[in-house]
Amino acid sequence: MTYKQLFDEAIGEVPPSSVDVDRVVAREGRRARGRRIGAATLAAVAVLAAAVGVGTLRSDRPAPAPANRSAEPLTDQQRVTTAMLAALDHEAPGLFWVTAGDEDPDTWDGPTTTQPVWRVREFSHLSAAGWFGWGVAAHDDVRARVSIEIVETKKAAWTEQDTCERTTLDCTLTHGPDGERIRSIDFQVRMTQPPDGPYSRMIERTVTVSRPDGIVVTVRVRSAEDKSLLTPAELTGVALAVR
Amino acid sequence: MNRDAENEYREFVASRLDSLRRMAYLLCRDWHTADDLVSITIGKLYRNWRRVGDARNVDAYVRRVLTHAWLDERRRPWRREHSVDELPDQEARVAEPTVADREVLLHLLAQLPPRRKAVVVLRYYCDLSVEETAEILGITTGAVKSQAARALEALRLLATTSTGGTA
Repeated sequence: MTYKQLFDEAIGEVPPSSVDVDRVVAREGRRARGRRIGAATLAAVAVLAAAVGVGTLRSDRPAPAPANRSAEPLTDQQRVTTAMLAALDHEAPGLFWVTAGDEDPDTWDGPTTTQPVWRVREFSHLSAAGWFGWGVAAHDDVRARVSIEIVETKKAAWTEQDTCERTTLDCTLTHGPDGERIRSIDFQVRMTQPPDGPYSRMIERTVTVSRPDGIVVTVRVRSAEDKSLLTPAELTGVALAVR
Repeated sequence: MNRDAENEYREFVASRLDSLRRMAYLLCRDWHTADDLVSITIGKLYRNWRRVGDARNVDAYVRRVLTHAWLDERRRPWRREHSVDELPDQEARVAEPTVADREVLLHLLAQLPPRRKAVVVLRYYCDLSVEETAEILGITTGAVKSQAARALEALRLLATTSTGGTA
């Protein structure tokens, strides 16, 4: 008996496959079409993002010269947008984006596109400063508001996110490969739209990654359905990947 | 990808799906995760189908992608299992392979550290050479030999005692 036979025997009966080749082909076809549409622009952005680095929040970090001198220098907002979307695409490829989706869940049923509809703004408060990006994404039959927040806290210590004491549906605390503290939390929220309108029930899944350098990255999906758009692992991957 | 290329891709995937799922299962010991890993692998294969080349290269490519997809999954701290270097002591074996033997083999494999497990699967399940295994894992041939050596005795013992012969 060869080792292969031995292993095959150890594996035993193989269950039916859940690998959906048609779906993989369709997803990759969409990705390829999306890449072709924006290939030139995205390539330039990606090269520059890699060359310049993503120390957007660290103003004391010197920015290397752009590798592609023929392209316009990227703004901080463009670099942050690229970093956020790259992290999302890496961890959750194949998302569609609701073109006219806003905070109101009633707008989430609109038409979608493969091109990310992603708004990014910079903010600065007394306690923290950083960037906030968000959009309404769709995958299969689930639609949800997705947001990424990159925050540099101005307080010496901020440990609120290290607990699981709030009333939650689920909450886990782990650590990342480089000493990051990770909290994944699911909870139910009730929203009113407009402010004095009727309640709508939402499920919110949030992963917060607190890096040793003081940066806190929070990735959040909020959906009106019980099924979440992204898994905790995918959210954590995004939060760890955003730089 | 044009229609002819897509047909070739689909034929290749159909012909290798079972072996890829088995390889993935040996690495992760969970059929859902195995199918996820295979889906990731064939997705990357689709993207790179034109430049991967002939079937021999494709086989090497998918094994590399699958192995690294699993190693990447393992590196994610929230999915990390803790492996130990020491193999459990062998109990006395019976002459015929049993369900218990199969469980012991999978248990032995599961206890190996990730890269050593990948070495065992690539060398002894996929039947790759030391050089091919080293190339896929990006390590030296010496490292492949040393990684395999500690696991080999236990696996050989099981193979021999369960069949009465030598693997």
